[in-house]
Amino acid sequence: MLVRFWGTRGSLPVAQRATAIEDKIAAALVKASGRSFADVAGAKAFVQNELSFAEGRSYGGATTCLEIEGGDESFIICDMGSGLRELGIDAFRRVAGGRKPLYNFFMSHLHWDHIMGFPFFGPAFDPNATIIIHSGHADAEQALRRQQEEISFPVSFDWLRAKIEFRTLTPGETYRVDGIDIELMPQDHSHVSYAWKFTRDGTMVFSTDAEHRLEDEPDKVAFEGFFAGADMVIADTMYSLAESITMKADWGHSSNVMAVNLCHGAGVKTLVLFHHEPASSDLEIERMFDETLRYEALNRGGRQALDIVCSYDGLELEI
Amino acid sequence: MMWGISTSGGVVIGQPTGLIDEASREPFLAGLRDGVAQAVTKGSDFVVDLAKVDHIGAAGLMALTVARKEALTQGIRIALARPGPIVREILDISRYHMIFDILDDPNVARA
Repeated sequence: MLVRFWGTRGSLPVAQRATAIEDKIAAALVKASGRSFADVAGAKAFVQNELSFAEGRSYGGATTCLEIEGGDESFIICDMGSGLRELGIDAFRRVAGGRKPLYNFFMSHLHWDHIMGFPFFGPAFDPNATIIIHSGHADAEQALRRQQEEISFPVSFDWLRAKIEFRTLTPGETYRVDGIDIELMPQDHSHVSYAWKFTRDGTMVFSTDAEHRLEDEPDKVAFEGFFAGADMVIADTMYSLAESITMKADWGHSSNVMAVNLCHGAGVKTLVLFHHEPASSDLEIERMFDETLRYEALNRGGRQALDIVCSYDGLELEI
Repeated sequence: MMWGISTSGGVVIGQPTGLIDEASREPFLAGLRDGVAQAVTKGSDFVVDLAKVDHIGAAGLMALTVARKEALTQGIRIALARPGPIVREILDISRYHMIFDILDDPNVARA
């Protein structure tokens, strides 16, 4: 399987302001220290090899949307955040190249930042497309229809031309969808969210918008069980541990520290930091990433090293 | 982990020693609760002196979180003191310096 990250930001789409780009370019020029580059490729090599990720690039600002390559024929998509718009554009390109216009969605939950991309998902207007929306929530259709009511959006859900079907799945069951075994598990979040586990020649868990409390032993046992032996866990690391237990307690999100603890306990191979705080700059996200690497090393004990990746819009990871 | 407790200058000081991990979570939490209770009785602050702690894991952070909550509920202040470099780093990564005062001297609980 291959996971493609189309949106990694939490809660609200964000964009770089003019001064943020200006600051990055100015800092890069200072770091280049008068060097000249023969061509764009040479300059890119400098950016990629000599600047940190946050100095030379950006984690991006689109909200939650992932694509999993590895089904028999369909597009497999987790959540409909604002990153879905670009996925839709790219899907048209691939469908024009012969790919079947069949889309299997798996929804963590129905909050605004996880569904806002659907009205901008081009394939929903394609009469040849089939869209199957899998959710643990029985009210998924209501949520999608409501955001396209006239008070909120000019194009009604009923104007979409694709064949759209809703399927409500049950935790504890294993489903086979397009050649991939799929399980879901409820998480602590307002109106409930669901973690999804995808297994085919490897296991990937997508677990966003989940609050894990330090003192909640049953939650720890349950999630270490659900994550057990996974090749990759994509986890909500929106807050610091202190934030998650004080002013942002009960907001339904978790921390980098809790993600490492759970992945250590579950014997996970790779943890992907996800659902970045919208107020965080690229440098702040990079700092959180570095600190997470350090925390993992300090707390590893006799375990095998946990590989940690900080997700960004456009990242692709093989499982 | 070993746990000691004393009173100095009107401040209750808990002093854990060694490794605070999953295995020592319960005794550490029990020590913290005792410290909170003594501070409540004496109407004083409670300081956890971390100078002799080699490492603090998730279980130790959890115990501090519980103790902080209970101290706040009972109207006393809980502070941490003298963490070594590794423990300090873990507290910084967790941003616990934003929710606990971290003192250089456990006998000086009030800034």
